[in-house]
Amino acid sequence: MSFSQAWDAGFRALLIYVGVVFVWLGLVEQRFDDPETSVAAMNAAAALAAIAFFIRAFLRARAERAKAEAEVRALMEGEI
Amino acid sequence: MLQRDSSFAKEALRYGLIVIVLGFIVFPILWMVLTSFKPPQDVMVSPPRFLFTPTLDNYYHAIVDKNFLFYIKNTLVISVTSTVLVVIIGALAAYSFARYNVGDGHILFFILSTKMFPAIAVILPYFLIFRNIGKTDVGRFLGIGLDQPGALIISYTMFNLPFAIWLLVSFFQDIPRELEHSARLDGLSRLKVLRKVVFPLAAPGIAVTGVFTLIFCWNEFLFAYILTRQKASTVTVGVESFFTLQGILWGPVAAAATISVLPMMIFVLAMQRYMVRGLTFGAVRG
Repeated sequence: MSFSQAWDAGFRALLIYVGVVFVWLGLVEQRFDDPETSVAAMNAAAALAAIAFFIRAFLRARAERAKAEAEVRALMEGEI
Repeated sequence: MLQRDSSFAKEALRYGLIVIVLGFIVFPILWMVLTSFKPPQDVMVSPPRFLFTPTLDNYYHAIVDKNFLFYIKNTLVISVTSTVLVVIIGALAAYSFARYNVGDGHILFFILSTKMFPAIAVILPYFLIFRNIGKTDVGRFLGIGLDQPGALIISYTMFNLPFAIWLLVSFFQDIPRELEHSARLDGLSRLKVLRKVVFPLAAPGIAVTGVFTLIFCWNEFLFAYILTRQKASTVTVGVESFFTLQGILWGPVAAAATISVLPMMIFVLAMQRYMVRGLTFGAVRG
């Protein structure tokens, strides 16, 4: 994963984190009696979603790189 | 081994500098989003609190009490209309400059010169023109007058056209003339060549021009502040309305700013691929 890909995925993961916070505060928080538990659960859910997105982006970037390298290798072997 | 270490150090320094620069860019946005979730007692404390109980009260205040979605709707109508006009007029003008060299480059330079003076220099004439037009029947019918969307649409179109034309001229210049000649030989009229050959090839450039114009229109403050009062106010003026005589409502300001940034951020992220393609369009000439 290149630096720019990591930055892009990181920024999107941050947006996902904020999105989860929005949804949680708007829809889920009322179901909790204790606000501290709700905040802890919210942060855990948001972090989980953001990390899952980042890992997915990382695996996707790695697979794309492997595919591109295989294509280049096949081309080089074909030329030889 | 020594060479490898030195190259690693160079890379680390390079990326370190990039991270610092990007940090400077992203930190205010992050701070704005964090502040929008803070309760009033945690907003202006020193040292700043990063751990707090988040709340949607600021958003409630901005959306329900201040009717901020009204400003979003106004901005959307004004920005999209202005962007469509800029892209259509700009693309036609830029094509004529790129292909027919209209005015031998002098007119093209004159168009750019309108970008050289600050907007504040022309705001008074604009104010007087729109005030007088707004009093006429035509002005009222077309919605061109003070505190009407037409005034902002025309102002934004006038101010963004030079930038769009200059950007698009370089995109059109990168399209080989031979493609147009062969299309003409196939029996296509000039307009059809433009519609079926030139515009599809310049699509990434047109898209990037549209995105930049939309961003400029969305974030513009001065014209919106001077030419509108209430009916046609945009998001930037809406955010300013939280600066009251009693004090600045930082929480609602941050919430309103976050709401106004979100549509643009989502739009730009969706268009990111086309923007990168558009910006690198014609970078390598054959």
